[in-house]
Amino acid sequence: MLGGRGRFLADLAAGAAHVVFIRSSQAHATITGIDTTVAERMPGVHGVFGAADLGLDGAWIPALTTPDPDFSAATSLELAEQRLPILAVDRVHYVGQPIAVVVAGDRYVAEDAAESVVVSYETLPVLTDAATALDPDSPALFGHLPDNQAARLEYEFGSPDEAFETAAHVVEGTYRMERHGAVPLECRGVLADYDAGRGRVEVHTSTQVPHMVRNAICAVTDWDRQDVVVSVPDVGGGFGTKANVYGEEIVLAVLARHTEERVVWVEDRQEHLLASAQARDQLHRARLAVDAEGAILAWDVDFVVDIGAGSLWVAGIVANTAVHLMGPYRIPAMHVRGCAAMTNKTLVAQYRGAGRPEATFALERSLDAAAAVVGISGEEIRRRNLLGAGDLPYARPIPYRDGVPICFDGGDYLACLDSAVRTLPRSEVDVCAIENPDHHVGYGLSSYLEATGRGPHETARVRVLPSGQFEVTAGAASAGQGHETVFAQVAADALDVPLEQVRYRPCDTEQLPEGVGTFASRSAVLAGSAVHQACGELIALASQRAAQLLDAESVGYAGGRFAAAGTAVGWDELAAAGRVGGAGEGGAALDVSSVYRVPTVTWTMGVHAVILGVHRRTGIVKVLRYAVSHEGGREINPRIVEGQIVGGVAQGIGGALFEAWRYSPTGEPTSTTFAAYHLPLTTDVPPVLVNHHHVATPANPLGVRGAGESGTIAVYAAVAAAVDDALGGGHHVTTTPIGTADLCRALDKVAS
Amino acid sequence: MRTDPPATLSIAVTVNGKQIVRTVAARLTLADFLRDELGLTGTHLGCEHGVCGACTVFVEGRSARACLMLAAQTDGLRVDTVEGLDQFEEADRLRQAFAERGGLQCGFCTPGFLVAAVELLRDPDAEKPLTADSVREALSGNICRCTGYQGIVAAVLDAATPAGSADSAES
Amino acid sequence: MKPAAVCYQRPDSVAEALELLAQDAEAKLMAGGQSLITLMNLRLARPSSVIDIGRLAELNRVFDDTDDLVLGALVTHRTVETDPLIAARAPLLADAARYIGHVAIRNRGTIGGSVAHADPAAEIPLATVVLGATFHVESVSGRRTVAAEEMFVSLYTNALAADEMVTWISIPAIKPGQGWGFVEFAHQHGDYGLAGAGCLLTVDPDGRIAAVRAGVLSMADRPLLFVADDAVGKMPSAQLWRTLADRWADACEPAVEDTDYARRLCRAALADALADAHRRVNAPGGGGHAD
Repeated sequence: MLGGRGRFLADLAAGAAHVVFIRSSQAHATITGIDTTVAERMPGVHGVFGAADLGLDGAWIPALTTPDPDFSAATSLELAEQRLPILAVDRVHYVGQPIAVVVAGDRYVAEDAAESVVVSYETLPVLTDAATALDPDSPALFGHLPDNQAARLEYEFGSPDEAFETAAHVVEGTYRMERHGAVPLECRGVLADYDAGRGRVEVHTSTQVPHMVRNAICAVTDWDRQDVVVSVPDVGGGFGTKANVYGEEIVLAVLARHTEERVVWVEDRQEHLLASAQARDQLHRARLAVDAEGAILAWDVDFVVDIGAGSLWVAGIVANTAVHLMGPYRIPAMHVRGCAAMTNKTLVAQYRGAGRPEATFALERSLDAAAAVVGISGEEIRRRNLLGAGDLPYARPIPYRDGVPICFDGGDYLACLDSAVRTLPRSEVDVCAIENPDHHVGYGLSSYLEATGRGPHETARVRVLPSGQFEVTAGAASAGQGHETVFAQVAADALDVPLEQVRYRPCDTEQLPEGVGTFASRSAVLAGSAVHQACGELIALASQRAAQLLDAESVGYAGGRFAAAGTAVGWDELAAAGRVGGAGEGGAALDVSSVYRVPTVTWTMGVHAVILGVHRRTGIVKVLRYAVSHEGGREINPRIVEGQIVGGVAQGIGGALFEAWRYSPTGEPTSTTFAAYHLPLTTDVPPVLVNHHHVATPANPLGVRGAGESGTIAVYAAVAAAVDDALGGGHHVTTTPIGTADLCRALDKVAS
Repeated sequence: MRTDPPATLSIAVTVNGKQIVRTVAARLTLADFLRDELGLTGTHLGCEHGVCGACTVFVEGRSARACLMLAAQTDGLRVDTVEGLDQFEEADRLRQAFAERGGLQCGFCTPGFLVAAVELLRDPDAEKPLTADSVREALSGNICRCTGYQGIVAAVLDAATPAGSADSAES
Repeated sequence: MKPAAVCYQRPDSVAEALELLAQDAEAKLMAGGQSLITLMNLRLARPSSVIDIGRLAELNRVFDDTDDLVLGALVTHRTVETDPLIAARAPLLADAARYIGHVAIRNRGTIGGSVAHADPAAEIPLATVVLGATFHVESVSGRRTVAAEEMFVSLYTNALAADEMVTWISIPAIKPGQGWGFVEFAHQHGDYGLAGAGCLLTVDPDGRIAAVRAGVLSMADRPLLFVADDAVGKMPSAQLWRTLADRWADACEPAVEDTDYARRLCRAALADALADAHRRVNAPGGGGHAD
């Protein structure tokens, strides 16, 4: 990477024909015609293909997961059957929806040809707002879904109604997180080729979930698993938008088979901002009841997620939101209602936190509102409600998404609060105020809770190479999280050999036919444990061989060597023995694949502290100091964990202050370049101090807890709290990204 | 009689010290020329409108967005990419520092950052010694979505101090 | 995001460039290309041909000409930002250049290109208007001059004929008794300015205002110039700056949704710029270096 020798998807494109997608220019319309005559005649164009040409007419992107029945029962989860066409035929539901493809010798010509294609539309009424979409008077976007609702759930425990009646204080608020999302620096891309000799399609895709992509391709085409191989190149960031299966991936595979050509689609940035899965876009109506001292009595939330024209991850997003509304606090009574609305906006998928940030924002903001009413600080109300060592483990009366009853398996959440305020104390505000005389400076805190390492399983494979070294692979697909380092380390530790002996190889679906993928802060827990387990099984297998070789009953294993009665063999000798002419020739390879199943999730928690300045005259926000104290498990590689947290904080700052996908009332996306969708820069993110509280977890053999998303979850609420504080307490931020014009008006009010 | 101006032309460019002669389309961007024509895929395309900095290269010794130049413009000029940074003695120190300080995760933005950072370290006009703030400001034209920038800033500060002196990374 | 088909020409002289420009109304001059190629990548610009003038060294020069500083149209923003002569003679311009995008953009982008592009949010057009610059313009038919105040007509529209090119920019050099200010507000470093103001203050030896002029960006389809004749003879004061800032910001009718916020930022930028200008008058040597 440092020498510019990475192999990202676009770097593999040499010799391939280029694919450009014809995409809908309308938010909601019927397609009345498509004229490709000019395009087809253009020199350099190999062809133009619609759904019918590729046998994809009426084909939908297959569902990726099914919710656990126990969870569904406990939360009355109902899911509608979404029908997301792979290529639109009669009707389009969002600007950017793929309709057809042009294949040409290079991207320049392909774009020329795509421009010349004329799609005729008859426009239909457009819905860009979830509340409107859910209104019974609004038109149905999909014929089979009359209420424009893709999912709903509800749960209740304790007796919230009673508690609200008798509580000393009740605060109400409506909290909104505008649509934003992953926006990795590398856009999507798919390379596909048909190997006629082997009778299979080879797909490379910039994905976090190669097995899901493989499964979806097979489900749509009816190909067998050996008919298609999905591989993962170097991936330039994913953050959840690449943990999705896209119509484009299925199209490229089918196109390669159909044309028998090597074809590549390299998504460009405009396309990405239009058509790559988006996220957040939630509205929470919340009520919190507390007693006179600020202890939580009851918590009631009604939330809506706007999933645009569809989401394969709607169940997960809605469930995550609903569950994480519980927060790291003692909450005796709760009522949660949530639903997902469909609108004429881009498809939605997971993005770092996937519902947790939205839930955390509503809860933490409500706590701050309650603190103000009670007359105590944000720190104090959290101190009075956070679960401490004496409370944990803390059971909750509903199961998690995996059907297992929830029990927060943490150590001491109060300790995180203590260390966060110690690392970045409120007193630092005075220093910052002197350094930034043009700004009102404020301090904010937020806690968060996160279920990590969701199963049900992950697969890993470890094999001995002819040299006696090792090659490891796992179903997790790295997008920059350092899997090469982390999993090699796990394997080296488990095998008790030096790190240099172990090589990590990114998975493909041939070399590892089963796997789940990287998302939901699960890689260290699931893939890591699977690697660990596979290594253990490899040692057991190899021990038998070694015993045979040494002519012993059994052998002991340590430091890479198998020993018995004064003699020993190493892996290199075992590898050699397996060759023709060796003592164990013809024997099965020293190659183990192992499926690791995790009993349930393991919980992490943390507290974020931030100091920021609001410019006195412009309302522009400058984040000055940031600290994270988080309770996690054993860190396989502390530097990588810290990198995940700091990177997560940066994305949170982006979402809290800058990032939004906006649409005109007629459904026109207006954030289609980086001039409108603003990512955080070097000058927007301060240094982040990270404290790691290690609480071992028996939930997996490595004792790890997930860390990929925790940096992001609490940022929105912490920043909002600090802005309120900077403005002197009379203001209550309820929406992200935080509008600077609003802050100016709030400053006026404060002044008057 | 006026002839139509050319839509393809022959260019001679010195890329990473090597003289290259090719015929290119007028509209071919420098980024695509480097990547597709010369196979130098280290220069990455993150936006194609000059904002993200992933495509940063040196043209005549100054940083430039390869996505905002036509290959044709570089006829007779010198272009240096991430693959050719070894000619600068700062490059090795920088790469080492990036690796040690968590200056990269997915690696997609890294080539652009390395070019920009080499320029910063060699800039006679930049106020030295560099500080975390001045590094952040100088590199604000390069976007990273993974690291939150902390490791990158630490790495550049490390590389800015001569070997053997005290650690200067921001706290 | 690849450009549409286009032809490429690289003339060896200004004269040749002007010939090529005159021959084809759909051709566009390309200096740094930072704006043009962005638009071409987005296919919002589709010139028949680009005339690459970026190599014409004759226009990449800076020199004193009696009371003026003269810059060739091909001087880059990076040069404007770092060149000591420009910092000495036209510090407002030098400071304005710092706000343009990022280093890599400034290495290629040129002041002539910025002027021709006529983006109402751009810093160079604003600075030239405040400084009362004069553009030297040439075509196959001859030469003329255009005052900066007249050059920026509306959104992305300048006062040049299709076959004309800016060759030189003359800027009255800063004199003793003059102070300048340039303030821009943006959400992020290097981003397009939400609002920005530049100003030039001239003060008599007795400390009274001899002239004050200011301009703003992003408040209209072109930079707006304000002159305060009624301030002549008055003593500079914070109150006066506030009054002028209010008057000038209120006179703006920005085509944005939140006009109140835009005017507020404009007001703040003007007030800050005027205060800075006043402070700089008193700095040693009058027209000092950029801060």
